[in-house]
Amino acid sequence: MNLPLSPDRLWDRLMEMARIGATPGGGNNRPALSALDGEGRALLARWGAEIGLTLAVDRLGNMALRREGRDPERRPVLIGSHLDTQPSGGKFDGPYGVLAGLEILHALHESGTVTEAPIILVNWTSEEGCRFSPSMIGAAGAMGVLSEAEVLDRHALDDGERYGDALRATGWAGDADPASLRHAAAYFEAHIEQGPVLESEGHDLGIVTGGFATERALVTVTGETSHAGTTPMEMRRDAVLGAAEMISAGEAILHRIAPEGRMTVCRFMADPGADGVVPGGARFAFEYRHPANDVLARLLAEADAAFAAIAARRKLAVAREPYWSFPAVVFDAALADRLRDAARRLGASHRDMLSGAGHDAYHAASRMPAVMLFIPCHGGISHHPSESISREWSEKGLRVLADAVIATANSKDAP
Amino acid sequence: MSNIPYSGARLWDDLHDIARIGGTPKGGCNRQTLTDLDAQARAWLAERAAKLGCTLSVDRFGNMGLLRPGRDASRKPIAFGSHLDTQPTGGKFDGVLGVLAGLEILRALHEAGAETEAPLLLVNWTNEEGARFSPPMMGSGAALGLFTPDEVLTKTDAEGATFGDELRRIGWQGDAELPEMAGYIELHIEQGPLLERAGKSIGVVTHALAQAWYEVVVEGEESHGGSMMAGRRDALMAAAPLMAAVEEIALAARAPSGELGRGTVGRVTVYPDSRNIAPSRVWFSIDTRHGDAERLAWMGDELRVRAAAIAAARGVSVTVTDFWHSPPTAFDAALVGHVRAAAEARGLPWQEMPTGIGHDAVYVARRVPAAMIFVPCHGGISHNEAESITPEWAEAGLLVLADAVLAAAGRA
Repeated sequence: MNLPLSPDRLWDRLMEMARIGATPGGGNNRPALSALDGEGRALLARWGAEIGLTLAVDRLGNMALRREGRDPERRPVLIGSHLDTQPSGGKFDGPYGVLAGLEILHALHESGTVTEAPIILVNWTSEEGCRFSPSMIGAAGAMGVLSEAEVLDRHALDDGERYGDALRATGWAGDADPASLRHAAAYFEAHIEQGPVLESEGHDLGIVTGGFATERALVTVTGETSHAGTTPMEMRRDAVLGAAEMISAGEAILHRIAPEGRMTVCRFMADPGADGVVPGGARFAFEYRHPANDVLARLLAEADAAFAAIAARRKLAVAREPYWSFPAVVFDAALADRLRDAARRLGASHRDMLSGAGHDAYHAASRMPAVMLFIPCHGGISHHPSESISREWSEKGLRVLADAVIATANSKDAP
Repeated sequence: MSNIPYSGARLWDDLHDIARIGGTPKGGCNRQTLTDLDAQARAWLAERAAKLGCTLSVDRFGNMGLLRPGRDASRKPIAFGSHLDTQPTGGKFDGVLGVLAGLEILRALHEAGAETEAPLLLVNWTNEEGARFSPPMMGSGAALGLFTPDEVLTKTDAEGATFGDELRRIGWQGDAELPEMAGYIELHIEQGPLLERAGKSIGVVTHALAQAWYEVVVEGEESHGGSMMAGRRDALMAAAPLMAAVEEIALAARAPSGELGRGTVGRVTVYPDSRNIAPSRVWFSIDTRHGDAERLAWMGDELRVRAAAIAAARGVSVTVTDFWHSPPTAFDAALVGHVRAAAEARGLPWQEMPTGIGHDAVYVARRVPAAMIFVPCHGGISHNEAESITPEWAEAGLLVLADAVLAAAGRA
């Protein structure tokens, strides 16, 4: 098929969307359920209306822009991502996937092409999770991972505003049933990698075959605060030393059991944190990720045992309290094949990879065959105003996504 | 010497009387240096000493000296004392015990009509705590010539008030020099756990630990929590083994005397300190102490060796910067001997120990023979409103100080 895809139109739209909530460093601050989010949604709705898409907004604010198929009874193919950004976000994390999907529908419209199955472009509400925890909450509600009521009753982390109230205030609370999106044939999501692998290896695209199981916890170590000058080493119960040893132990466990996994300690606090004082308290955010649920569980069990042994030897107390976790995701092999075939045909260099970060596609995968396509971003930098991609990467991602989406929408053996 | 009627009960009453000046609801004291409350405490002391026939001299840093004449006016006085200023959430005993025990000695001698060969000098040093005007031990440091007068008088507090202006405002800037001292003995609470745990009521302080403080910066690269481990240059994962090394190094720094070092990581900050991002930068402070200067220097060298190894292995940069250094200080063997003999003669359980923290006596010892006496405090807790001691410990300190002072000054 020779679809008149316009990489320039996609690029121009990325830049136009980025004017809503633009920040000085070239970034974007368009938080979910803000007035700016409402403006971004309105712009997408206008672009959709111009090419005859039918808009349905569900009770969680998820936007579905439908292009009818030849057979309206066939289950639709979904293309989705999100328009909300981090407070210090960039222009591409999320909007790339939405606007690449829009460009595919635009090209179908221009060329008068009708696919067998309908295609629905989805903008999920609040992927970033900056104000309303957890991340990907709109997709979670639609796919039934969280109940509709649970989502509507979430309160903002900053000022406690209720999700349902914030949504109504933006004017984007719809009346469609969020569950209606569960009954689709397939889900595609294109996204920037947010890591350095593709660029550093010189690949154009990443075929994402799955995502990591993740568990993030706050570890609290408690000893006894004492004077650094008057307390001999053997009488101390120094929580920072214990915490430092636990971090190194966690790292050694990862290297021994599963070097392909990930470990991150993103925060560390000493209490009271004063010169001349042996710290009686320490806290750190500790996270393991692994592609397999059972390996993640084993890593965590080993870490807990090591932490307990360190604490016992040092007469400390330790508590690891998980506050965010996500099971492993395996994307659909047939859809991944379609992306691989398309990349090969279009001469885009590619590799298979796992997603380290969470995405709306994870929730979609709990209900339907789903897959993701990554394009590189410079230096792996994301969630930062300097987040950037090349026009060439954007074009290659668009063409491969279009090819695979249309092949799926037209396939005879489609579910 | 026990015919002098030193009264532990009177000392205990004094401790609680002066604690009302700046007393806090939780039973502590907030009497920071050069405040109106400090002036009240100084007047409290001056008034009582005057009744005992002592002569007050105040130097330009506000240090107070209360001189009791000896039989031999040609001899330099034996001095003793400590400080009346407290931390903002301080206790009733840190510093105050040493000054008021000194007052009780003067009072008991006065009542007994006893005379010493050398004159006696009770000293209240200005700004020992350093809480309002940093650094600590400013009055003794200046009086002994370790700081220049300008350096001290122009120091400012958080509100921008200068040391000199505040001293004049409360009316305690003098123009005298304190009398030159033949020796100085300071009684102080231990502020640590050793004596109480060992069941001793007297610490014979033989020396002050040398200290070296460092600031460490580990710099790597931010990475997303999902990125592969192989490509990361995680500053915190690199900092963790270096923090642990601080303890290993302290325990490995054994001196011929068997004494070990002390090492502490007190403050840690990570950047960007954001969820889902492995830190690119970690800053932490290291405080090392040892009684043996050579071993302390070795600790610093070893720290840098470990830092370099970690930097090379992990592709990060580690910078170790000298922040502050204080040499070891030995107390005077003869005065320490008087303290030891006094504890022994009084039948009080004692042990020798170093001081791990600074005291006015540590500065004085750089110019004048000096010694220190520690008494226990509960749980080693100090710089805290919950700081507490028993009347028995206070009395033990009083008696040992009195006997050591009289041994040094000579009974007439």
